[in-house]
Amino acid sequence: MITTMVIAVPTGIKVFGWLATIWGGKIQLNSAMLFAMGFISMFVIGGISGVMVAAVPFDIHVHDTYFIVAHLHYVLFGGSVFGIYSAIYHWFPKMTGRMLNEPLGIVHFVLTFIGMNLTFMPMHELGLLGMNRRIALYDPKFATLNLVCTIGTYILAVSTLPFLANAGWSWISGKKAGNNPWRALTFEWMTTSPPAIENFEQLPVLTSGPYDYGSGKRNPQMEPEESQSNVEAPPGFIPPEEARAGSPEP
Amino acid sequence: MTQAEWQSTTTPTTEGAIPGQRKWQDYFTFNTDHKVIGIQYLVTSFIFYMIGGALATAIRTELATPESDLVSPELYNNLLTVHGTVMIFLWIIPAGSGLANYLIPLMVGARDMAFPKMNALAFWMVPPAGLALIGSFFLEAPQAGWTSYPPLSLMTGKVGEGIWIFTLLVLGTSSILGAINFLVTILRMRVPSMGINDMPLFCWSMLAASALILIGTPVLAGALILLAFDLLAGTAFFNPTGGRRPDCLPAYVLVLLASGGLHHDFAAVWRNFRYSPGSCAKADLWLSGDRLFQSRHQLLGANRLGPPYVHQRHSCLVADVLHDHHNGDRRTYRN
Amino acid sequence: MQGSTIDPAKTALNYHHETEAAAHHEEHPDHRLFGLLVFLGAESMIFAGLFLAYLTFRVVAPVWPPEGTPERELLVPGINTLILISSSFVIHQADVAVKKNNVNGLRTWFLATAVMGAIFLAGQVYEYNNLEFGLKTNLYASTFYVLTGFHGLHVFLGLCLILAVLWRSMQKEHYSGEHHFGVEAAELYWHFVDVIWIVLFFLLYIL
Repeated sequence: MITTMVIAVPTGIKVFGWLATIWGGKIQLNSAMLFAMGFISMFVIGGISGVMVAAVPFDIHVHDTYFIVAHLHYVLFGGSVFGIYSAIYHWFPKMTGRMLNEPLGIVHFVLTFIGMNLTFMPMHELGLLGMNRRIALYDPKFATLNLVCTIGTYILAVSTLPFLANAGWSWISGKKAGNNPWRALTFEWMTTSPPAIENFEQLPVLTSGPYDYGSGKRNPQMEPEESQSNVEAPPGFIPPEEARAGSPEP
Repeated sequence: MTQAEWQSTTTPTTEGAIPGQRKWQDYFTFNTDHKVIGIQYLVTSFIFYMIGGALATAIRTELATPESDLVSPELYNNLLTVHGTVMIFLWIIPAGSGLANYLIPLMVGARDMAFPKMNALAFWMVPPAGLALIGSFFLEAPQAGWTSYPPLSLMTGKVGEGIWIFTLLVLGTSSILGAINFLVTILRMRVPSMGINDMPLFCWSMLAASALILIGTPVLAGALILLAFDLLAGTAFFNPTGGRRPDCLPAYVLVLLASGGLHHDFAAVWRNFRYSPGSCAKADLWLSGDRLFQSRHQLLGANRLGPPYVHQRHSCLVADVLHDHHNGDRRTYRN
Repeated sequence: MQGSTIDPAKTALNYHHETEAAAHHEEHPDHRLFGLLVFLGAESMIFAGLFLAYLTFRVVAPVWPPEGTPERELLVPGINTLILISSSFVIHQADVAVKKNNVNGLRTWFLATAVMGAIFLAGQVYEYNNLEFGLKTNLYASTFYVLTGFHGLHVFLGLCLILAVLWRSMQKEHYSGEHHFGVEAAELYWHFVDVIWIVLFFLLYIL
């Protein structure tokens, strides 16, 4: 019980960190970002219901009811599936060398988001009304909400179809991604997409922090499409002196 | 695994093939390239995700009406158990391993994982274990829920529960091997210019998650071994009817702590978008992943551990009455 | 970028032992010992879990060992403990020998360790055969058998490792003063098994 409440503190710090980053950032609402934001919102709902069940009197009410199922799925589904989808949309270009289709990705996100909330949100109410979990039969008075949950599940099931079509089609004939489609700074974007068998032509050297976006240091340029097979920095690229001085030299 | 073997196993296809281009056959073999293993993990786990989703759809279809009209109550329990286990142990965890496998060496500037063969071995433990679990539907599927609380899990059939324990032991071994690999790669194989504070957050998450797997999963394995002895040899570690007073609660907590810690550690791996600034909080967060379980079980005594009425599902109206009584004070303001 | 690849002079200076080697054929640093240590850490968590379970049973039980548990004899396990502890020193001699490039010494000391390990296992089997309680007698008996059995399994695995090293040392120049990871790994594992036994012996027999 204490640990359950204590865990809310670092989680809250992280959530505020994400929110502050989004607040200060310039957001591109592509599929990866949509899933990331879906993750944050769903995970916060799951976290709040987690703090609720940490309170003993409330916990005695909802013990072994659908409230727990709802909480668990907001944490596990919202916290993992959205995150994994976000990661896949983000790193698919690196893994396959092709971009995923954006409109299909947005359709996928909307269906997943609606399906998830339609499935699991009514379970909170079912739990508060006293419906036990893990039983095949239930009192007819719960029928309407259960039907809503079931419809939500079907939407969730359908929501994987655009993703499957998207992944399959894009893997074969998607738009070429180039080495660094997101203009990210970390090492994995410095090699080809997909990376060669031993990853790097030459091992990279660290010149700045992984998240030094817009901090006065030079922004990376989108690499030209032609240089895909060869790892080359953009012409005229000079690592900033201050970054070099700040990083441990080999 | 000698260094010479390392060399020969990771660079067999450099000659002849276009660099960076894997043949499709590579993805179906015992390949030691971390990128191949990463995609193998991701695709395999997504297949299991769809299987788990199909099970969930069956569960929800059954629950669309109050009657038991689609599946029998026993089959419902099987569906529920396998759905939970597949989603946690065959989707979230392997998908995490897949992304980690693909990205960690790239992010730290290494050419491969620290132990490529062990990496491939860890992956190839997943499909057989998953098939054993799914295949249990044809023999006798486990019924005790994905948490397998002992009093119930010892009463619901030896074959199904035995398969469940076996599956989890294999998957646990797989994730321990994977975690050793991630930990050693992150700590030892960064390019010399990258200090540990220059790592991307993804690596930090995986470092914390791997450390917690190494702490939590072995304890889970120990508890599973004890459970297997109870189930198959008739000992009484968890079994309150085995001649012992039923106050074996701390032993339960052991199981719950371990499994809870394990799953929640993993649920966290994905919060590492590049937008996230707070990495220190991660390590703290996963130390008490038992929040789902512990609070609800410590207070309520052994008789409430697990849902005993799963077995008495035909008396659910009674259970419901009990619940209403139990929640009597709430009724006053709800109605 | 977080890094750049344009400066070959700065790449891979310390990463490789031989900087002049071509980029794809550099010597890779050896992480196996570190990996083994991490693995042993994970292994010790299994034992920690089992020990914790044992202690929990013990604390919760009103009488421990439960009434009716036959007396345990300390002679055989005591001798066994002495043998296992001294085998740790014996196997260390092998490590000292191989570092001096003395492969014959390595073989001798490893053979001695293997014999001592086999004696330990034989003593364990003897003890199992002569105990007056079975696996299902009571909770103490169950934990006793599971803990010692699980440890015995590890002794057996360590024995297999030692025999494998012995087998490999038959090949000429397989182990030398510089290259003897197998020896070190087997030694480390054996020490681990030994330490676990000391804790186990203390918990099950003395406490």
